[in-house]
Amino acid sequence: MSGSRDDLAAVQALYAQYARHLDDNALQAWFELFADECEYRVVPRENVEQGLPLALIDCTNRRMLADRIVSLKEANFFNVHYSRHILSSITLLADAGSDIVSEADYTAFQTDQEGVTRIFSVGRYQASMRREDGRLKLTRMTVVADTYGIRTLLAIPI
Amino acid sequence: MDTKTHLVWPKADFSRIPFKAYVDPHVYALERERIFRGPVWSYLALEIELPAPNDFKVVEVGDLPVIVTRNAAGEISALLNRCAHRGTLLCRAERGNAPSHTCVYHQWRYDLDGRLLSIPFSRGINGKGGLPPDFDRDAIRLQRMRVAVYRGVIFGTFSDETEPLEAFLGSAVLGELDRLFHKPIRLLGYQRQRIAGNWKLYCDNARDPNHGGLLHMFHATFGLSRNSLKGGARLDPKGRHNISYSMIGKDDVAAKESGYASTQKVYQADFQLRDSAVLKYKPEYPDDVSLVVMSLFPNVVFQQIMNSLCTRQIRLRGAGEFELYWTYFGYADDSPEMLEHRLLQGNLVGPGGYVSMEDGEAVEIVHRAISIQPGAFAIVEIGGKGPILDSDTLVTEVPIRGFWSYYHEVMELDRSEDAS
Repeated sequence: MSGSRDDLAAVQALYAQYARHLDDNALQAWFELFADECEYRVVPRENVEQGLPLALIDCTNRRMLADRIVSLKEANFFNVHYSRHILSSITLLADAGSDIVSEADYTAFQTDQEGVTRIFSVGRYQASMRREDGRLKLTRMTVVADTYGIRTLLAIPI
Repeated sequence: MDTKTHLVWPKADFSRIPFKAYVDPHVYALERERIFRGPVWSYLALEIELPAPNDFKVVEVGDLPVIVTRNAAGEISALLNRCAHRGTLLCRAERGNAPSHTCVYHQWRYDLDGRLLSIPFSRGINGKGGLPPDFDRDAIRLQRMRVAVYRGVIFGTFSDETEPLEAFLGSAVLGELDRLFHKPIRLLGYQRQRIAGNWKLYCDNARDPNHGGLLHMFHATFGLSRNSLKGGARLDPKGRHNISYSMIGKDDVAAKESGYASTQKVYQADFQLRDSAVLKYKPEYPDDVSLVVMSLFPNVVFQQIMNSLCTRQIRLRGAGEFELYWTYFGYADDSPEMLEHRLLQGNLVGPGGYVSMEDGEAVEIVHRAISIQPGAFAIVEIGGKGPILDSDTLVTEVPIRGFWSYYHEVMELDRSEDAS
């Protein structure tokens, strides 16, 4: 893979689905964008820059990611809100074997029940993707959050 | 005290808390002076964060910015981060290594003990300008905190009146610090959370074992810390510090079934995680205690939630907002598997943690609702009224009364007669 136009279109489409599912609170559909072997992490930028390994959310396999979604649905309380993700600068990086490696910048807004919107998080997606059954799936998504001062709490994935 | 900050305490045992104490800006101003510059030891940082000479880190004591640094001799010093000249924030970097600190505004330079080293153009140019001949450079020094270190934990105080650290903490707290820091630690990272509520609502939260298995339904659902577990809360003699603890696997089944009977979707007997590694406790202390939340007056919580270890520093941002600054650590001799396990259990706590995310929301919805009627009172009677004592059950909020009892003392508030 060397960043062909087809790959770029497929990657853009995957990011668009990713954002759309989160914004529609369709967490199960969002989960289906991940491959059988996958990782999902949200990491504070300050930890990355200091070489510290701690994450905010750290799902090291697909079962843990499924557990996160079940817990949000069944066990956790969190602030009622809409999410809106805006992506830009989607970029294909160097070839990494069979995986497509890409980055994108994101802004995630939250809108409360009174219809007031605030920036919740900005940062960068670092994603690895692979074709599985003809569809591009996420094998790894690392969300590096510039906004490591989390407003209230972090429940719904970014 | 002046009438602006007058607070009414209807019960001598602090089983009623005036909402005004959480929302009033005059109370906040008084807290700055009487607590954060008063006779208490505030948590600053961990020594492991400043391993080398000249390492520094900027922290906050209440809302006062403080540079914590290690001088060339290896001693820790803590300086108010404000240039003595015109009051500029002296050190703008959050962390780093520097043998001296120079103000960007007029380049006054200080050593790591706060002494003024140099002022540019102090003699002026060609005999004109510069400092007056009687300018006393030695009299100018950054405000310093007294610093004390226990088991690698750095505390500081602005007051000369503060009792020695070990007396302030008391034997129960010292015992917990001995347990938690029984061998060298390793820094794993930070998490930060901004909460739109008063800082004392979080102090209450950390002294409220009863909420653990009710607000944090993940706890209850997956059996991590149900209120029916064996556990309790211990206090220092003044009630200001609290050690809440519980023991996993020591669950009272009958108490669990009846206790959770009236709750909504809290407890589901057949609910299981697909990957339960996050819930596995690997014992590493000579006891059965799997959860300790130790909150020290005024600004820190020490946590052992299974194998997830951290400090939580409370940093104030006015009466209606605070930052929680979480510093996670493991032990220096952790195996790669243990390190991985600790990082995995980072999922449990912090702003995105399975068993802690709700605290941010809880504090905010309390703050929002009490702001509209600050003349009313919170009720604190779970676990009993009257004397403020240790509890051997998790169904208690007595430690909250301990906090307020000492708050009242250190704030020098007038207590009204017990109306009951």
